[in-house]
Amino acid sequence: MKKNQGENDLNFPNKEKFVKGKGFNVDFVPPSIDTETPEKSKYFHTTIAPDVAKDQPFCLGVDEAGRGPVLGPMVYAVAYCPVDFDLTNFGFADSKTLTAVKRSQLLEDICNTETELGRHVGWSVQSISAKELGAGMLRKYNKYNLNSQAHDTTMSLIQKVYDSGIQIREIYVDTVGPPETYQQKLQARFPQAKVKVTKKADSLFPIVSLASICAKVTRDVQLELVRYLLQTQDWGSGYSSDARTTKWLRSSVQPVFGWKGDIVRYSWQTARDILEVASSKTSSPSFVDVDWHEEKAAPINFTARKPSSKSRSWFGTDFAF
Amino acid sequence: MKKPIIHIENKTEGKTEDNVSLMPCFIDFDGPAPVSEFFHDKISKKDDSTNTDLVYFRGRELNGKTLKLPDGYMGECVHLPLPGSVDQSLTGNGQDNIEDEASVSEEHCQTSSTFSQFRIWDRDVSTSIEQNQWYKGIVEWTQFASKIAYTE
Repeated sequence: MKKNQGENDLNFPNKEKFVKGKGFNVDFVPPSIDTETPEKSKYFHTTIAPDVAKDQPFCLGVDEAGRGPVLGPMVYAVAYCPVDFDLTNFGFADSKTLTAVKRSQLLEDICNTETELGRHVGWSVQSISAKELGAGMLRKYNKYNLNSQAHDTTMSLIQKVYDSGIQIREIYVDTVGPPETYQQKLQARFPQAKVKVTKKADSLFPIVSLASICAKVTRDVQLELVRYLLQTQDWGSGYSSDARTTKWLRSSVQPVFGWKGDIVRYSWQTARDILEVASSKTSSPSFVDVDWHEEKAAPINFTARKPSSKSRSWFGTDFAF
Repeated sequence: MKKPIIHIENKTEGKTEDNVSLMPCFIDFDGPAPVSEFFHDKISKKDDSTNTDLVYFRGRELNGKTLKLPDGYMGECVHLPLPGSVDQSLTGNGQDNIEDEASVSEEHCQTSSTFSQFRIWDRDVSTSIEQNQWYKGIVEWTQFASKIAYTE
């Protein structure tokens, strides 16, 4: 069922701010998005239709979007449906072969609770903001690494589905790293289900492809909303390998503070090269050094520049009163 | 060359500065910067019951507590002259002091505003503000100093 392509047919709070065709490139804003503060971390979940029995066996898929980019959130998603529910004819092929437009349409179908698909599928996302990711990795003590965060988030999402009364009996997880240890960890955590962790799980199991769509569309829309609200130029995909992204980073950096919008992961090397490393060929001409007094600093090239004595005695000992 | 003598002139006209922060880092920059937009306007409270301020600087989380200056103490915001920009005509004598080892150059600065409290910022630490070295320096040492140097 195709929506009318009206100028303002989006339906969510403060929608008057977003006018399609005036630089806002989004057709469908999923309910997992906070349109007031789209850059923030957020948990969102749906439920299955009340008349669909919860005490039958369910299968659940896990996938994520946005692990690698320097911009925007990392989004984890789980999707679940009854094991008996046939997902094959809805177009959930390998999510990487789907275009962004197709993914958006599929999520819109999933959100339509009047269809069989919408009634039998539940999904939830945990979006971890760029700010939270960066701050976790840049902590002085107790650094939070990406893998730990990924595993904790996944287990929390799955647990919440169990807590809502859903009998998950099969769990399928897409992974980037080696699957064996993660599978053992998840299997021990959720003994009531059969856990399968594998690479390319989104092309093997439709329920994982579904989760992948939830994660990707949520991330894409979050990123585009922030860009639109910042009224800033196109920053591409948000990956460091994308020339539009690095161009945006370099041209919009404020030498003391960094970037507006809480959308950059300050812990990413690309961002640090521009903001924090004087000798780097990408650093800004008005570079400002900030010394955090960390003896064992993370990879910053000190050899190209002598640490100044000013940075060790910032009480102004050059003056006598 | 000897270090210069600083004369501080009071030009506050009662102006107070509400946003003074002691940072857990050294920022090698003296010029104007959009501090309100990136910092002051983004200070929030931490999500626990400790009334701690929360802000991010270059992606790092900072926790802050407000410290009131002890009784009898006042904070002054002073504009320091940039190195090499000393105006010799402000000094008492009209001589060129730079090569003269015996005399000391003088510099004039102005206090633009005063403050009676400021924020101390720390990285992610589990210790309370009372353990912070600058907090201790101000609170404990001023108390100590008042005990050993009583003035009438």
